[in-house]
This record gives sequence, structure tokens and C-alpha cells, in this order.
Amino acid sequence: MTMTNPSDRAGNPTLSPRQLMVMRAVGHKGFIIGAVVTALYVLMAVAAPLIAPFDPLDQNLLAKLAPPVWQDGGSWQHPLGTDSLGRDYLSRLIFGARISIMIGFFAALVSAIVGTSIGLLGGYFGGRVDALVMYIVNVKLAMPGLLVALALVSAFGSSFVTLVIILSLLFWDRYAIVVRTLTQQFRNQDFVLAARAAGASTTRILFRELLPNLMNAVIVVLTLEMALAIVIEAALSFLGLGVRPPNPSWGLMISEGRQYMFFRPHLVIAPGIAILGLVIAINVLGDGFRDIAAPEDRR
Amino acid sequence: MSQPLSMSGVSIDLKLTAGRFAVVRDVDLSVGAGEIVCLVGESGSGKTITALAAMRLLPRVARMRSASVVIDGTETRDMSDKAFGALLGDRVSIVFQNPMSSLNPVLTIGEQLCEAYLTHKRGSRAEAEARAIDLLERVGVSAAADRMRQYPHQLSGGLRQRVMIALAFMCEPALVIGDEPTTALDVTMQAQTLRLLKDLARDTGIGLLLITHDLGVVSRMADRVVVMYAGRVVEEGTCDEIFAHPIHPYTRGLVDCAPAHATSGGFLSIPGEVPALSANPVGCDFRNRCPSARADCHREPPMRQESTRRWRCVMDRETAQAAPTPARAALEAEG
Amino acid sequence: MKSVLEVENVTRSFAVRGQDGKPKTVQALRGVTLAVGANESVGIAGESGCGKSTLAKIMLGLDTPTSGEVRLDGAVLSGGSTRAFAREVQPIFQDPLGSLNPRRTVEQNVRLPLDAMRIGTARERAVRALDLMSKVGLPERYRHTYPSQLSGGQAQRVAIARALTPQPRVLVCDEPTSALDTSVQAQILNLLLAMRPETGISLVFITHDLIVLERMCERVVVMYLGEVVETGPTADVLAAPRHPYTRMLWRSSLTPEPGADLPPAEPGNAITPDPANIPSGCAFRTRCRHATDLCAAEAPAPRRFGNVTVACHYAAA
Repeated sequence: MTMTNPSDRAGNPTLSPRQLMVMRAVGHKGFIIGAVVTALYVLMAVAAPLIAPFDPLDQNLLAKLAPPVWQDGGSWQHPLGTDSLGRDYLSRLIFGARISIMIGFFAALVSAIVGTSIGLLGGYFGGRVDALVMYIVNVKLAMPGLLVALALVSAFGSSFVTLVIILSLLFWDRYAIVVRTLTQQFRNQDFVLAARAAGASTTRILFRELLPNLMNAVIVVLTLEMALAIVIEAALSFLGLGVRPPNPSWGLMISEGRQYMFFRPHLVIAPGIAILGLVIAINVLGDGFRDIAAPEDRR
Repeated sequence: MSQPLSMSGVSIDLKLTAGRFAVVRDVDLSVGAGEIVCLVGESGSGKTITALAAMRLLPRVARMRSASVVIDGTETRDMSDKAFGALLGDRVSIVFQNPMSSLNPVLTIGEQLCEAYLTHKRGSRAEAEARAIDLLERVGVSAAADRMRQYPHQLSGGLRQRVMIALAFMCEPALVIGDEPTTALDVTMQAQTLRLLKDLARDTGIGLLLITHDLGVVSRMADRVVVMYAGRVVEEGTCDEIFAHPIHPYTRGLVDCAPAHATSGGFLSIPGEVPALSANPVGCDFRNRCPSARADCHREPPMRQESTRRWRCVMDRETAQAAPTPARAALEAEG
Repeated sequence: MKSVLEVENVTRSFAVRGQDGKPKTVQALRGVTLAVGANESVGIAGESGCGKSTLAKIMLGLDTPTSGEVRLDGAVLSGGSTRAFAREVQPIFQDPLGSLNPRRTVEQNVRLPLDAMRIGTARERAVRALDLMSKVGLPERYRHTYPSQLSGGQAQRVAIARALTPQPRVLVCDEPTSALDTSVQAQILNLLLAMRPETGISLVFITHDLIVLERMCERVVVMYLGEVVETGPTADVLAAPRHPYTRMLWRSSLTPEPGADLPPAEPGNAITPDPANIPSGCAFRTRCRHATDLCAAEAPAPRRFGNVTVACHYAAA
């Protein structure tokens, strides 16, 4: 069913795709909730030095394992108590957001760049280039990602940069596959033919004709992969293979708090909830974005 | 024999991101037994959605506001969806535009044809198959018995559309609706398919409602023509009347613009565009493009009637037919 | 007359995999020769399977023929030299909205050939884009809108403006108005007609609609299953079509004539054979009411009748 394009009575063109997207975003509860919560976490990470009551690395062995405010003996000086080295738990929790978000974001970003490029090349050129791309993707899919990550961390250590690179190696294939499929669909569309007929070079077609049309899909994958990266970083840290102490990674905090779990359960639960909250928020945000950024076909 | 279709007071709204729009307003439409009625309009006229409304096949964002839809003598307004489902395929069937997506790819042609029959009629499989083969032959599908065992992807687009037509006739419906059934076909195949559809409709005495924008098709198929513009019926008459003596300025324009044989000269069109959808349209929708527009066109134009003719205009018949045509050899779409 | 763009004896086959998984060869073009002169309008008439879109791509330099030559101003070109083609030959496609980049504004879409080939400065390109927008009747306020905000007719105007920016000499239009409403069709066709004397541009107009072609093109080339079956001045060919397919196509073009009937039923169910399985001899024989054994045995050679060339064993003067 075709419909004439709504335009106002003066014959002016109507709402642009961007405006329509904003309208949809505002009406989408999931997107708003996800966005707000994620923004709060980011704010927490950015403003950490301002809002954390103590330095997260400050040890005070006289006050180790202090109870949280809701247990006997707790006080508002340390609302979440302290850990085994007397460090304020709330401050460690707040600073932990920095680690999770930074690592998660950069890992997702690097893998987005790598995966999208590979997918673009395979999808556009087809033939042997595509065969090579699919071969690499299949090899990646066959690998047990987490185990490989563990092995690499053992081999190469776990500095921030190393961790980002290793984590990004785990996710690029999802981008490659999505981008490749979309590129294959787009490459036969008339506007790509028109660009070729207009004398556009292949580089131009890939990056200025095709890529802008893929961005929405890539962003959706990016948000979802970021959530995954955060969880895996926490897992690695929990296993002692991620961020090294005394850095306040939430996974590491869970691991350190394990031995005291029975009488200070919050040492494990608080970072756990922090991870859960951030990951769910990002997932909901990503899902919402996918709904909002639906293709603009009004035909 | 009761009238295949009688719709009155049909209005349909669409709820979109950008707001609510009245897309069809107060449409009356009927098809008599053995009659071929062509519903004509350009895109945006609401012709397709009107027909879909009759079959309760509206998209989820569309709402039909209470209207009378009488199919083969049965008022369907208060019927439940389940009861209505029994009518679909049995008393009324539809042939869609796109032959690619209308057939189930995992069932053979024979299975689909027979399923339609067996769902609604009490008969044996053998009866269903015999009828299917007969219909396939009548719609010009050669080697029908073999075709029954083929799958849709093994047939060309044109053949698939013929199968769709056979499918529409399987249960001997009172009404068949064709929504631009040949528009997607090659032009030589189109002419052939229309011929077959016309012959079949005449032979079986059913009512055929054909939706199209192509006046050439209309002139050779229709007994009666209903013209729609911007969601309303603007004119109705017999085929001869509409082409030889159109009344409403829009109909005049359409008829004048339909290209006839000529080796030179530009193409005529009606300047301007179909007005935008809005929630509360006011007055005559054609007034922005009508050379005879005057002050009282800002008010709701009355539907005038003279025997079999109807037209929605402030002008009476003589004035309208003497008025200048809106068709121009224009270039500009809008000012 | 020296031609601007010509194709000589061009063939194009594709190796594809059939539904049964076995490889087969689709013969899209089987020896087509066609020349377009300066300021000339040539119509290519045919339906699906005739090879017109493949021919269009070859003429635009977007595809390379399997054999045969493509010449621009007499110089042989290969499909690799897209830039040479891009400056002289530009396309208009059937789906107006599909031929525009949905993520670029109207102005950016119109400027594409200039940006891609780095013609002129940025300011000059913007000026030219606006100039052409006004020439095709698109108001300036549409500059920063996106294709999804346009109607089909407006989108096609954008496509025409884009095609004209590099000042090409040939415009290859592949069913440019088939997807549009009748009144919008008329506007676009009038636009193309009006443009010709102004720019001196040649048109290659591909369509199945002979009624439109009659008024748009001085010369017509009728194609069926990859071959030219009839060609000549439009008036001569359509006044008295000699090839049975041309006649069939002509009769199927329905003008509004109440009381007139539909064309008679044809044998063969009006099915065009699969281009991977072209009938022997004359490819049209499966749909021709006059087919004989000769038609199955031998492919008809083109013969001249005055200005018109026909490929049929039984064509008479």
C-alpha cells in the first residue's frame, strides 16, 4: 500500500528522519530508562573523584571489614563498610564504574572498527575476498572465546590496553556478519549503482555511500557487545586474570569479598548488583535503539 | 441472487508516529451480481485500503469506523473476527498485486488450491482437485495436471498470478476483489491475464471489484467506474458515461491526461499534488487544483445524484461539464 | 551522423546456479547493435527478460560485455574506465527513492557526480546543484531534506538533477516513470522532453510502454530475449509493425477506449521463455501464432524494409 508523503498544507517537506527518530525515542519507555540509567553510571564514573567520600586505594587497617550502615556497628562514615584492607567500599564501587565502562566501551569500539571493516570488504567485493572473510569469521566462531581470552591474558598480562585488545578480539565477528549481510543487500540497490555511474571510487562507495547506511545497525550491535564486554571483564577480574589489585574492578571486588561472604554478604552483592544494573541498562538501551532506528521506509 | 458487495459510510483512520490521519472518509461502494466495477484513483486515493477494509485485512495502525459492509447479503459489521474468517475465501476472495509473496512457498499449487476448497466446502479431495484443474485450465495455465504438483517458485510471475486468480475462484465466491492484480506483470501478460479474468467473471456471474490506476484497463474491463480522490468517492457512473461525459473536474482531468496515441506533443497532467493527509480535512480536497474553485468550495461539497451517476461537487452537471479541464501540459509539480 | 554512444554486436552471458543447483548460462544479450547520435532520442522497447537493463548497464559502463564493443565518440571503451563513462553517460533508474542515498540530503545526492569526480570547487558544486534543482522544478526549501521525505515524483526530479550535474551527453533512462502515478509521470516526461533542446542531450529511453515511447523517441528498438527484433523510426515502426512481437506489444498497450476490447488470447500462455533456455531458431516462436518449422530451424536474419529493419522470416513489405 502506498501513501503520499505527508507534507504540510504549505507544501513544505515534513519531519526529517532525524526528527521522527527523536519523536520515537521520546515515546519509547525502554530506551528512556536504559539511557537514563546508563547515563547515571557514566556520570558516576566521570564524577568519581568528586562524589566518592574516600580515595579507593586508601587503606586503614584499623577499620578493616567494618559493617555497612544497616548492620550493628555500622555508620554513615562508611555506608557500605570497608573491605579486608580497610578501604571504603562505596568509594571502590564508584571508581569501579570507571574501569568497567572504559574497558567495555573501548573493547566494543575497537572490535566495531575491525569487524565493520572486514564485513564491508567481504560484503561488497564478494568472490574470493568474501571467501577469505568468511573463512576468518568461521575460524573465530569455532574458537572458545573465553578460554582463548584466558590464555592470552596469561601470556600477555593484563594492562588496560592489553585487556581492551584481547576483549575486542572476542566480539568483532558479530559486527562482521551483520555488516556483511547488510552490505550485500545494499550493494545491489540503485543508489549504489548510481554512485558508480557517477564516477565514485570504490573507497568512496564503501565509506560514504554504504557505511552511513549501516551505522544504525552497527550502533545497536555496539551497545549490546559493550554490555557483554563489561561482564567478561568482570569475569576475568574475578578469576584474577583481569585488572590487577589494588584497582577497584567490580569483578575483583567480588573475588576478594568471597571469603567474607557469610558475615559480610554485601561485599559480594553490592558489586554484583552494580554489574547487573549497568549491563541490563545497556541492553535495554540497545534494544530500544534498535526499535527506534527502524529503517525509514515510508513508501 | 443477493448483491455481492454493499459498503456504506466507510471511514478509516491511520495512527502514525506523526499523528492521526483520516485516510478514507464516508465511502459508499457496491458491486452487483455479474458486474465488473473498477475502483479508480491514484496513490493516496485510499482505493486499496477501502478494499482491504471490506475484507478486514487492515494493517494494525488502521481503524475502520463503524460502517456497513454487506457481503453476499450478510451484514458483517457486528460479526466477530472468527465468524468473518469463515467468509474470507468462501464468499469473498482477493487477488493481490504481488504474485511473489502471495503463495505459500512450501506447499504445491495443488495443495494450496485444494486447501482453499476443502476448508470452506464439504467435498472430497477428488472433487477439489477436479475443480482446481478445471480452473487452472480456464485461467490459461496449460498442462494443469502437472502444474498441480509444482511449487510456486517453479512458476513465472505471470503464471503465479494466474494461479492466484484460480485460487480466488475455487470456492465460487460471490465477490472477487482484484487489487491491481496485473500491475506487476509484463504488459503483454497483463493484457492476457485481464482477458482471462474478465471471461471468467462473466462466465461465473460473480461480482468483480477491480482496483486500478490505469484508465486503459478500466475502459476495457469496467461496467461501472467509481473514482476516488484523497479518500473520498468523487464520481461514479457507467464506463461509457465516465469516459465520454465525465462530470467531476478530477475525473475530467484524469480522462484528459490518459495518454492516447500521438507522435508528438507533451503529456498532460493535473498540476499540483494530492493533498497531504490530515486529521480533520475541511472542504473539497480538490480545490487547490481545480480551475473552477470558488468560495463555497471551502465547505463540504454535497454528493449529487442523477439516476446512476453520482458526483461530489458544488457544481451541477451542466456547469461542471462546461467548466475548463484541470489537465495542463505542465512541468511544475507545485508552485 | 557520428554517434555519441554505440554498442556493436554486444553479447552478455551470466553463469548462474539454477534452482536444482546445476550451473546454467543466462544469455541476457545475444548480439545487439545500437547507435545513439547527438541530440537523439532512442527508445528501447521490451519486457522482462529482453535484456534491456543489462544493456543499460553496459551503456553506462557499469558492466562489461562478454563480447562486442562499446564506443564513446568512436573510441572503444572497456568497462573499467568508469570515469570516462561517468562524464558522458548518466542513469535514471526505475525506483526513484531507491536510487537516492537515504542518508544523504537532497543537495548532497544531487552533487554526487561532482563530488565523486572532484569537478569544480565546493562552492561551484553547491551552486550547480541548486541551479539544477531549480531547473527540474524542485523548490530550494528541499535542499536539506532527506529522500524519505520526498514523493516519488520529487525523488525522480532529484535523480534527474543529479544525472545532469556533470553535463553528460547521454541520459540512459531505465523505465524512469513506471513506478510513478500517471500525472506525476506526465510531469517527469515533460521535464525530459523540455530538457532536450536546452541541453542537446541524447536520451536512451527504456520502457515497455509504447504509448509513452511514441511521443518520447524518434527511433525505436524492440527487443526480445536479448535480441533486436525490429528497429526504425518510431512513426514508421508503430504505424505498421512488422514483427509479431511488436504487434503484440502494441496491442497490449491499452489506451482508454470504452467499448474497445482486450487483445485476443495468444498461444503459449504469454510466457516469455527462461533466458537460460532460449528456444532454437527464432526465440519468439513459442508465442507466435504464425510459427512454422522454419522458425524452429533457423534464426531469422534482419532484413530491411525502407527505414525499418525486422528479424522475422515472414515479415512482408
